[in-house]
Amino acid sequence: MNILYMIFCYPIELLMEFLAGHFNSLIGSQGFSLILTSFSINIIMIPVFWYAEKLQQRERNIQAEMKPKIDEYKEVFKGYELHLYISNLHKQYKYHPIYAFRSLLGLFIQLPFFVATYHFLSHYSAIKGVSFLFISDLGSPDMLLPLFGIGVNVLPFLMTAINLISSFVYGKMLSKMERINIYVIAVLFLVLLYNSPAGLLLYWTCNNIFSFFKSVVFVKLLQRQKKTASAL
Amino acid sequence: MYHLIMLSLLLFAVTPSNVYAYLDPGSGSMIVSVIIAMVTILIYVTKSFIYGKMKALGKKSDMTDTKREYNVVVYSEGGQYWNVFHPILRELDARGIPTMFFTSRNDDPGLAVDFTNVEKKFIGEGHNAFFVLNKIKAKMVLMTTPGLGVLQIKRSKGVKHYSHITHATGTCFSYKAFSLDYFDSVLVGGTADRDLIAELEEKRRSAKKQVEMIGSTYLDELRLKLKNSGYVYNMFSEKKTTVLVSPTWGNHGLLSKYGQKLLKTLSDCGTFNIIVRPHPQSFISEKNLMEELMKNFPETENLKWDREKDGLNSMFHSDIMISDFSGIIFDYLFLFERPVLTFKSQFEKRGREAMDLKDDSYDIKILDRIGKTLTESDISEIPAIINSSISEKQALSSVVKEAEDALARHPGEAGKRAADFIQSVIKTI
Repeated sequence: MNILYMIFCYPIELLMEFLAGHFNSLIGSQGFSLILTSFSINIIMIPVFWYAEKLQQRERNIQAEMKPKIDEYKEVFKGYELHLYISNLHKQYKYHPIYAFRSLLGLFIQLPFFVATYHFLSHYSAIKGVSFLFISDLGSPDMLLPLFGIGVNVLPFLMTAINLISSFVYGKMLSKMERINIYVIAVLFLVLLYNSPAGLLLYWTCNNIFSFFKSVVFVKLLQRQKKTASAL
Repeated sequence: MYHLIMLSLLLFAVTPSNVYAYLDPGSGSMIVSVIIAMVTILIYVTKSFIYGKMKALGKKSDMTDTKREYNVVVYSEGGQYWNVFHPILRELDARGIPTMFFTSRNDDPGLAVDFTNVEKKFIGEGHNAFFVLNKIKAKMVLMTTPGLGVLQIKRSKGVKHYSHITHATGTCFSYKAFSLDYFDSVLVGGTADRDLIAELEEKRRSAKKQVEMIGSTYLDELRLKLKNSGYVYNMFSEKKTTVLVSPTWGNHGLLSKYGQKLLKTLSDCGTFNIIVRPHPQSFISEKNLMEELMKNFPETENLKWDREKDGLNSMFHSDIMISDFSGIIFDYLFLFERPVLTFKSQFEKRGREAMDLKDDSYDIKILDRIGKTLTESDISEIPAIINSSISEKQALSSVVKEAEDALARHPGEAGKRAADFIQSVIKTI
């Protein structure tokens, strides 16, 4: 497992360390260097995101094309006969259920970036005890809102709010079930990340702001492509 | 690419669990898609495995040598298709073309016919037949069974050319979906099926098949039988206008929907002789309905129930037919040129070829011109409608000519034309 990590994730981690270190030496702020690193990595990732989005869209389109026929067959055929007719429909569309994984290739390409980032920011000693704007320690949970004698972490809520807005924009292209799922995942993030270091949340909050703008652009572009394709 | 996916999956598995929380909504939706895709694939693979095992449960037939290489194979599901194949086998036999006739019924009349160049063999039903047909080696296989490559009969690698022959005078619009897509050629009655197949090919962007318009072998057999039958009007003691009620079976069939009301109106009228000829399947699938109707309308001097194997005698006796969308309508029209009254029924298109057609097929559209199409509200007026339709039957001849061209052209030549086509195909293999 370590070999896989060394091959796929470690080079990315080194790149992040390089970027964060250089940004810090240029501007002298660990907080801003994390923000700039987040945006730099996201810019590098744009082609990957776009490719992943297109693959997923292709899968959605083919599913949408087959859906009326599959629904029709489900109403009139049963058991083995239904299986044979659906298999034949797949054959007609040159499709196999295993191809659903094709659309997920983008996710698997992104995965080493996620792992590397998490690993890097969990062990990045340079941010420990360092303050940034209203955050007293980037290496600990922010505890910005004192409530009944307990410090409530604000950054996880901020990140989740951005995630929910982004989900709303992105969700326009998805089915109802998929939309519910991404909202649930956004809320799940809040629970899982609530006690994470502020530096990590700062990085991913910026990442999600970027993701929000990326989603707006991608949705518009893919909708335009779909309109052009259907006009033809 | 699958290696890359597998590698990524492995990486995914070793990732710290809360790293997923850092995914943005786009990636989050991908994770949802991963789960949905995995569940879908699991279900699909499990079903394929189970159904594959079920298929293997079928006995391997020991009745047929699957290593033998045949020239032409004609496969029949049973005796009900003998009229379709007989003219072709007769012609192939006369031309000295080695042919094997496989049937799934050991009471198939074809097994009792003597040929010189045609061998005959009962290969069993269901899985026994599928086993033989899926392993067979031949230059050409001809059959009426639709759904090659979709249902249980798959294209055998040892067969060079698969041909389908239509077994009724109506079109293929009522066939189940993809019924003809994987045949190399289709022998059809006329332009209606030719156009229907072309429309489906265009819509599905499927490979173009050879479509040969040969006419109807089955109708030619009925013509011969009629010519030699010597039928006389003896079903009823008194000659009156005779009405043949001959519908299809099932919930959408005429007897199921309006049987009671229609038979009552016709019987009460007292001016007709009535022959009721339900579809043979009605006595199996609609046993209660049949018992009820036969109890309420027992045989009398003026009403007969016809359960004979073929309906020629009933057709011969009648002046007009009342039906829905049964294939017998066109047999009646082409053999006797007499009017047909049809009840507009809700034909179930879902799961059938009709669903993928832009419009109703020719044989549905022409019903208005070969008689009147009726609704339930017309039943009380039916005696008058019958009389007026019979008086206007002269106008039918031009419609019959046109319909014959579309559905069953070349009367009397279908067997010869089918053999010509088979000969031309095997010559090129």
